[in-house]
Amino acid sequence: MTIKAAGNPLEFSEIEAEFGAQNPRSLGAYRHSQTVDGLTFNGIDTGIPSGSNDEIAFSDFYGKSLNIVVDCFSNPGTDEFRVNAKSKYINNDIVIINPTTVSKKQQGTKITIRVNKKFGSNKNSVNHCALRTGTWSNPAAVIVDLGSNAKVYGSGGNGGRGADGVGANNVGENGDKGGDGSSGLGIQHQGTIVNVRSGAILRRGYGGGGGGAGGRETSKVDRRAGGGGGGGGAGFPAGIAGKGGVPQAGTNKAGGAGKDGSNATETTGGTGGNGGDNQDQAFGAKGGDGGQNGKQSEPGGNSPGIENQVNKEPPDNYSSLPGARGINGAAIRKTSGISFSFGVNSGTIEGSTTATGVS
Amino acid sequence: MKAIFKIEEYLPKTTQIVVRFARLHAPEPIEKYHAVAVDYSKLDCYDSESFVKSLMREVGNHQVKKYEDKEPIINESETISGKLDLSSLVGRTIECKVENDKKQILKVRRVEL
Repeated sequence: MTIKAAGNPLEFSEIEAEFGAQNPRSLGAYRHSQTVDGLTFNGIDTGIPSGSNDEIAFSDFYGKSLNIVVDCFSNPGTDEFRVNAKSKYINNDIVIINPTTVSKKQQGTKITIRVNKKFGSNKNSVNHCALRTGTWSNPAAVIVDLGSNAKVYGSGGNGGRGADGVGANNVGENGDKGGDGSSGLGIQHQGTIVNVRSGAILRRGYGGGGGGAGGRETSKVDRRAGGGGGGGGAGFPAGIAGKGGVPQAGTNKAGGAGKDGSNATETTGGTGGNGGDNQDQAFGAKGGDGGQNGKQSEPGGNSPGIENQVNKEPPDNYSSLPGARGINGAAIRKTSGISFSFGVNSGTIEGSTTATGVS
Repeated sequence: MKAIFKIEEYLPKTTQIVVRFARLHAPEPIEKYHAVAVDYSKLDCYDSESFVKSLMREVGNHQVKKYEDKEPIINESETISGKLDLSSLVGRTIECKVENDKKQILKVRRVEL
């Protein structure tokens, strides 16, 4: 645990308990400087002299802690997904700031999660994060340090499937909701400090577009048309296009199937597909576009056929319901009841930093 | 109405292009309009003409119309229906649709049954 505060005499064994035994067994052996992925630790802990000729005293060690860096930077060409930094610690993907090999420990240690590569999330929930801190047992501090090449992205939601026409009693067969985007960084440890250095990007995933409504026209024969699929939302991975709806067997005379939407890219939402056009009589609606920075995802549209339905009783044009749009994830979210703060904040943050719920 | 588009990215690995659309007479530079990702494998890429037509049919027409619908309305207007009284319309601003010249109400004889 962290060495006690000033006020009582300090024994050499207490320094060894925190920072490990050195050879030779002297205070001078603790003068140490180490750089990990461009992050320099001037001193075995902040304030402890590091130069070989610097004076060092027992008093320099009061209140000091072992430093451990969790490796979220190696193999920058290999992207990682849904990573728990605590799992990396358990798997010994760590660097201990020390002149010799010592044992890792959590209690009283300053944990720096150094991030300098690309992390992506997945599509199943807004709470899902590309990278999360994990929970720690009484460390002195948890610091997330995002370097200039850090990219922590939520995934884009998939586009909703277009409606398969309109149900037999003019009810049902609605467009599907667009998938929700997921989130970037998840903070699960109370008091975490987040450093977002210049060039680092924390970005939410964007919602997918809703599937378009189906259409039906019954003046002579029963013609139905499928809605277009929704476009995928921007993110990493990008949202996949929703499929176009296919009208029920026997109701599609020609051209009644809705078209698929378009996949998104990392930064740009896909477009919704056009609705089907069954012999210029029944029309499916266009699917909604997927979301991206500055643009909300869209719900699917209503069948354009019902716009042509003027003063006709009983009506012979019908629309099923369009799918709702997917919602966006967050750039940073935290476990309910905990707080975090920014140390350095000079990178790019796209999306909410106050959302709660991390998984 | 004429439109313009600008391809911002060409992504052959995923057969996608990232494109911006606007009206030719748009009030803002095309860079002010949101880009969209389009799967070009589903477009007619036989030649430039067919590509442009299919791009506009599948994506561009809707995007341009959407932007037009979002532009601010600076003239307050109203709609009219029923019996026509031209004198009552003087000084009023009336909302209507711009439609193809070929589309019109046919003149028919009144038939007493």
